[in-house]
Amino acid sequence: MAATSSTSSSRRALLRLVLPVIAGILAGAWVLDEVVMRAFVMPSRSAGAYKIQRMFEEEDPTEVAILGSSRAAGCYVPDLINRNAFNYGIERTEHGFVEVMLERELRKARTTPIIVNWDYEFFRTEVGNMAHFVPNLHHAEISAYARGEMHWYHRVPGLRFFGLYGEYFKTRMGERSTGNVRSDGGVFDNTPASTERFSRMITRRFRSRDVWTDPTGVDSTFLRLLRSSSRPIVIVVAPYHASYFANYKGMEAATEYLRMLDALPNITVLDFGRYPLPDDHFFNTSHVNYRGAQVFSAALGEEWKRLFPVR
Amino acid sequence: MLFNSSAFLVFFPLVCVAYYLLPHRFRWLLLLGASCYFYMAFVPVYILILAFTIAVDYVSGILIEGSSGERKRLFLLASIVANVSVLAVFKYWNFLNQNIGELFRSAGLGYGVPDLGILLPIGLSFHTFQSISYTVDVYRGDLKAERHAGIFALFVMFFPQLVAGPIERGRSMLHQFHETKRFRYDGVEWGLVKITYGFFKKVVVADQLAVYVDAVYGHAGTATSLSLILATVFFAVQIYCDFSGYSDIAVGTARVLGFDLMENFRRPYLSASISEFWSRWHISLSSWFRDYVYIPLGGNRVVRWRWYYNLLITFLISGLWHGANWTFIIWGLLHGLYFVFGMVLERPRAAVAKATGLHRIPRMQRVLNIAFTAFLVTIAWVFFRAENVQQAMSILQGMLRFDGNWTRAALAVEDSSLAPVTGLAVMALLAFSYRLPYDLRLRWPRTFIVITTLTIILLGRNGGDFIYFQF
Repeated sequence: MAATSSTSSSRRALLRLVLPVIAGILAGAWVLDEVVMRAFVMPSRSAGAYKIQRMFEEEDPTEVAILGSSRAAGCYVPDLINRNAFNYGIERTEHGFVEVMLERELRKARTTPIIVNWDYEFFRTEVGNMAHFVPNLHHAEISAYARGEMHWYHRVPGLRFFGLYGEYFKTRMGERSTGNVRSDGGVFDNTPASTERFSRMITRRFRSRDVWTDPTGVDSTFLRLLRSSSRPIVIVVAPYHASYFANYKGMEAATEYLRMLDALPNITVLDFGRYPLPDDHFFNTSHVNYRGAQVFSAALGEEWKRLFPVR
Repeated sequence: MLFNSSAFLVFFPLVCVAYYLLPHRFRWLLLLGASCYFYMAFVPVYILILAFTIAVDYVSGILIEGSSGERKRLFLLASIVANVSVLAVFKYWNFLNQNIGELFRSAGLGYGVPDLGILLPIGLSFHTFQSISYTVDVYRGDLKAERHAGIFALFVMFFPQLVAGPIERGRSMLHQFHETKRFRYDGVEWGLVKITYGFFKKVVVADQLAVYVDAVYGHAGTATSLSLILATVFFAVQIYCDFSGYSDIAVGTARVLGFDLMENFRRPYLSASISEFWSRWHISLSSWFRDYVYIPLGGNRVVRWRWYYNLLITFLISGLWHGANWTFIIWGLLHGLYFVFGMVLERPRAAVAKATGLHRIPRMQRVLNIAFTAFLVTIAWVFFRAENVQQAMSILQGMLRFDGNWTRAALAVEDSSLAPVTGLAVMALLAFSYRLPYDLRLRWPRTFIVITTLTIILLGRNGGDFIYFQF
């Protein structure tokens, strides 16, 4: 008797509790997923997720791609460099991701030059923010790149954006904020400069001990890609604040590495690392603000005209 | 295994289904096996420490019950020494050794005793205290010694409360393992509501607040006063939601399986005094200290100075229980001092309330007392969260600089510009959840589970460990 009651009770639980709850959660999660994709992820032209999708789908033969990390996103005003340029810079990414994007770019039927932003931590290992990659996991290259940081739920529709909704919300809201300027993928800080805050950053930078690490071996894919195409690739070092170099160890070796890249066929290195900019042109010691980006991009634009006069 | 891990999402339903399919006589075996698996997901070899504690206290219980007089006392002492020795070696050895080393060095003497290169076993303080309470209860005659070794092992190892409590008593748990549990729809439903609410507290509130707290405490030297104050308030709520969230999941998980665990938290930040706070915060630990330390010391049935001494000693040990660091000792002592001063100043406070007419508005008086208690508790949390005493002092000094402003840019530390806003939003959600019935007996439990789960998916973070695991 007791067993029968227990069995019927458990069946009742299954029908009344578990199934409706699971159905409710699945339906709700699906709606959340759709809303976020349509209203937040894809309309944000400055979001990493959008840029990755664009890189895989955009075939405009005249486009000039600017690749790199947050330094690329925040330093290059595309309009001031070339009217067909688009800034594909994505925050907190490094050489591995640039390689994925560059490989994809090189496969396109284009002849336009490519800009790759290079910085002194280019060869660090950091996958970056999963918010950029999750909507693009259907691309095998992205899936392979993000594998190390991926959780099982990132592949489950409805659950895949767990922990990432805040990022999408932040990016979407950022596009409407007055604190920054956004143009063709670039995101430029436009908040009023705070001398006190910047002084604290300089103090902290003076305390840091950044070191150039020999990238031999780590750079094999990057070098292979640079050598694999006849398309011109311009490697640019965007401006740093002078304090960045104060304690930097291994600058000679880093410069030597840039010289080696410059010597490769079709590769041009433009070093604006020490380009003279006043303090109020910086967001922090390794990133310029909108003012700095405008000055730097105009200078790069001039150089661009000299390098590629026909285009 | 963490409750907030994907492994648990598979583990728990499987255990539940198997549990209700098995006849009662095999269920203890299933739960014991599941508990071993749950514990061994951390550092498998540490199961041997648990096995040692279980073996010692199982035998001690039987020996204590079967003896009397000095012999009985001796068995109890042996059991306590064995348990405390495990704690001493794994939790306190390095702390003690480092401090002795400092003393030697400050006296200009050499000291070459090395630290032990071992990790603290997860939940060691919890199951050790649970086990100690069992032998003491048997000694006092409050509990019969458990003869079934498997059931006793399960009492120490029961997976819902194995690694972070609640610290249960043999009197309330052992008999439950002997009882035949039938599937009860109401119990399962309430258990799932409790689990969902626990996950909400942990994954949405605690883990979101942790973003800002970690950023500010990680860069305390460059953070403004307002950032430090906001981060400390956030930490007060974070630790509450982290730990009470764990307890809710533990209570709910046990309830789904038909077991009743004690409530560990009763909205502690609504306490109007420190003594009330400790009757609402980590209840299983504070009642443990009351029953096994404070009352044996004489409690309040002694002369006044001795009473205060008993309180301070109890809080000092409570601080030390939390961790082998001076920060925890100071945290415990601070609460002891709050407690003592609260009693010393009881009459003057009543006189002030009368003189100002506040006693005629008891609700206002209570609100002020709640605010003041929350303030004292929050100040003490600085020591709990800081890496060391120097950092705690520099944070407290930083909070008193009163620099910075309430703009988002000024509050931001490193990459946390949205974190203060998100933190305030999830705290508002928590406050909103206080409108639910306190016991979570809801009219629409399924709707609650669905909406809360969607909130977790939308606002949750994959935040990692529970803070209290380290204890």
